[in-house]
Amino acid sequence: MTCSAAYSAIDLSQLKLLNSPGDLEEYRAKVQGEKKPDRKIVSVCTGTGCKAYKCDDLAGALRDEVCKAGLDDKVEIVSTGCHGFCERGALMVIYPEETFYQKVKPEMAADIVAKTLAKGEIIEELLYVDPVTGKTCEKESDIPFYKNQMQVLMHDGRMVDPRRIDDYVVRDGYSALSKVLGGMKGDEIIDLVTASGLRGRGGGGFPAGVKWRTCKDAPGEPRYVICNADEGDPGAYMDRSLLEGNPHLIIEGMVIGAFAIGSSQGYVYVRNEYPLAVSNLMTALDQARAMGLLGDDILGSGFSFDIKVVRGGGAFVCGESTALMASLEGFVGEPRAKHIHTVEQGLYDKPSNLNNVETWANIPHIINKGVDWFTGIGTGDVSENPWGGSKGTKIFSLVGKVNNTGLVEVPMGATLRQIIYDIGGGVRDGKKFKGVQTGGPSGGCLPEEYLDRPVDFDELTKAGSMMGSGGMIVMDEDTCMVDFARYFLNFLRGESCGKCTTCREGLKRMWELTNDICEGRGTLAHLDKLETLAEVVKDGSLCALGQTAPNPVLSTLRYYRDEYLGHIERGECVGHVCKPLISFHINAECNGCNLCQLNCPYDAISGEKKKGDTYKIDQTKCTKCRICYQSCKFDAIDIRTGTQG
Amino acid sequence: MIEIVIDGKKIQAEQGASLLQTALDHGIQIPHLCYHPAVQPYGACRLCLVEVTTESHGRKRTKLTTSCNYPVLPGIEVVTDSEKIRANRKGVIELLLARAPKAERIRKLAAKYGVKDQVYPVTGEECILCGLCIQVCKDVMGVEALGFIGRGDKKDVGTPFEDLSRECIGCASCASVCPTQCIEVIDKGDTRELPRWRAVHKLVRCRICGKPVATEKHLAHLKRTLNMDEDLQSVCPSCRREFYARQAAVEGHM
Repeated sequence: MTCSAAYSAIDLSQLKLLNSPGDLEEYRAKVQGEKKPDRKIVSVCTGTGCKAYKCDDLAGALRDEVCKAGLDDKVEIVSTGCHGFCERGALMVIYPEETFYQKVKPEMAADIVAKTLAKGEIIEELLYVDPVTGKTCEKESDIPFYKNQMQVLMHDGRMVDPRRIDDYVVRDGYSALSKVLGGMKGDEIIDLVTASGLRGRGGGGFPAGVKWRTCKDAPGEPRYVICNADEGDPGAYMDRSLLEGNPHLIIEGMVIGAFAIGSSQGYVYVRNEYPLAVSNLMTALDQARAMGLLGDDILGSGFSFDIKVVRGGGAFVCGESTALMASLEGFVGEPRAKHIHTVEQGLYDKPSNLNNVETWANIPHIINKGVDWFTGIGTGDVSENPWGGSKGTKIFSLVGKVNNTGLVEVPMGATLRQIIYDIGGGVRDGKKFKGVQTGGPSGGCLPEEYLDRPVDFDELTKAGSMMGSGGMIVMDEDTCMVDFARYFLNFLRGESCGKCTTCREGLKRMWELTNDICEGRGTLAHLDKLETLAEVVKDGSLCALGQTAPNPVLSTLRYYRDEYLGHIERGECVGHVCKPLISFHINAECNGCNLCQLNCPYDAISGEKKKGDTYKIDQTKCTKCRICYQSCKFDAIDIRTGTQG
Repeated sequence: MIEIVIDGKKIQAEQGASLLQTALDHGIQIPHLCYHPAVQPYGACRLCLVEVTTESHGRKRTKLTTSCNYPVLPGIEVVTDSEKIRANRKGVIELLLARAPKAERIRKLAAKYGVKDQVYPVTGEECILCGLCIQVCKDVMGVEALGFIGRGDKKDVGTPFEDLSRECIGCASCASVCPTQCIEVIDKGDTRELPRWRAVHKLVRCRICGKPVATEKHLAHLKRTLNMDEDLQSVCPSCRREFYARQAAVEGHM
């Protein structure tokens, strides 16, 4: 049996049942004591992003090589959750030295073990080179991407194997639960959470403590506690990584919440499109149950609570609370009017407390480190009322035209500039920043003038966008803002449940109007109609999907109106995206190398190689596929638009 | 009974009742299409939007909300007509008109709210997905032959797998509640057809005047649920009335 096979799933029957908080602390001390202090730990990221880079093969190969070299006693290879630096997968960190290797291929395992692990020799080509400064970084903590973050929720996920509960326990996991069951009262816990100012991380920003209080006080039994893991914003994967990488953090949070509210049944509603999150969550639940941290008589306290995992059926709208609960009950995921809130009448018409994954993840940290610690991070003042500020950290998925794409955790109030430039390394390929989309399809796009805006629940909303659940898409000069608005309209149109007229018909018509503009058929009347219709959809729709759907259009009209006018009045697409408005031409730089002609799939390029011929693109055959443009090594192809064409 | 204010008028209302129904009961017109007193309010058409002002913790909040499913609460102030409301209604009507260009109720609303022509390319489905046919079939008739199909702008109404329904009893209740009258009922000879549901039924005609009474399946359903006298099943309601009137007149003289 190879060493990699020996690192297998934990046998549930081997897990010890803990009958009291004291038992848990004893067990913790035992597993902490078993850790060999002089053993190197190699943390290999095995999140979904790195799986695309064969991280599992890498981890397996490393284990085999360690075994072969007889270094088992000296080195432990841990397959962890997402580290967040998805741009540089597959990646690994060697502790205690903090040596950071990026873009590692499984074939390099032998060298890594022989050179770095056995002899402490650094392999230069695997080190991170900062694209902005050109500096090589040996240590993880030297890398600006990590250095400029404040990792609270993401941190432990980088050190634990989500399929091994011991890893979580060793790092003080379930100590918050221990503290809660060791004598705290439900009301006390709710007051603590309220005082912390923790606000919903799913985008709504509703104070969690207030929600818990309303649920606890609402008449009706039983009460339900639900985790919304239906993360659907395109490009957002914060919740996915939390669930994949450290599911016990969320489980612990939910048990504490259930205890405070008085619930014995919880649900995690998770997208079926997150198979690794589902799998790791189910494994974690089994292990927690086997150890008496979930289920009947938790840690011998007399409190019973269990969690069922329910998978979604592929509908973005099921992230909406009433649609989610309808889906949980087995009905079609369609929202209903919320004149009576779900916290009073939700799942099966009973009081239900629904919180986002990241909100639940904050709970154990707040219980352990206290209100003052939490309120010390972030913006505003929550001493009078929890809406007075945005406290704690927030995880963002920083994607798009940025150098360092990945998951980024910062304190509330960090500016867009800090996130995009200090952590993100700025716009890639030396292009010019055009804007950043925050809040997913419900949010808006902000231009350069807003880069110094602090990011929290309230500041971005004032500018016409919103923080939302944390999606952050960076755009450069090659983005067409009209096409961008059309993209989000298309997404929401497909995801609309179709119940209410304004969303169902309105989004269809908004898409048609925007599409007309992109394809060169737009008129000024289109803009008027678009703006009027946007108000109708915003004010008239039943749920937040429809109500916020016009935001991408409204914000791009506010900040990039000239691009719309360019399409309409000058037949111009400055981003060079809208095919009917652009054309490709060969310029004087051409030296007749013939590469474009060879690659053109439509035989649209004429000219004879190296004969001093003028190469030409036949505009009647050209489909604007860009293959010639991307092949040319001499900048001999121009894209013209508007009056240039 | 509680007191609320609608358009400046003090109104006595039943707590928890539909705000729309309360307004209609007091002669206050609010346009609506997907609302019907026989079934639960669904809130889909978005025509019945009004402005409701509520007060909590000393702060007043006004929001635009559907009135059909809004439960009346003490102290609320309602405005049923304002520039904002009219702008929203006009927008909704424009969207519906492109979907149901032939529907009389929508054409009337269009005229009332200044919608002159089609603003959008006409798609002409005629059905506005109000769900009334589905609800009436399920909750009033207890038959449940219809349901929603699909999602978003491809949503539709139909029988399971859009196939001929075994459950449909041909009562045509769906047709009678449809706000756009897009469910055709064709009574010819001893057959009733509802082409939209691909339903064909045996029709029973009045043995006195020859007008349609109901389908055989509907009569069987009535017999089961209401224990209706079989003798009267082949007599139409107007002839039945005449029959009983004569009987009462004769008995009165005895």
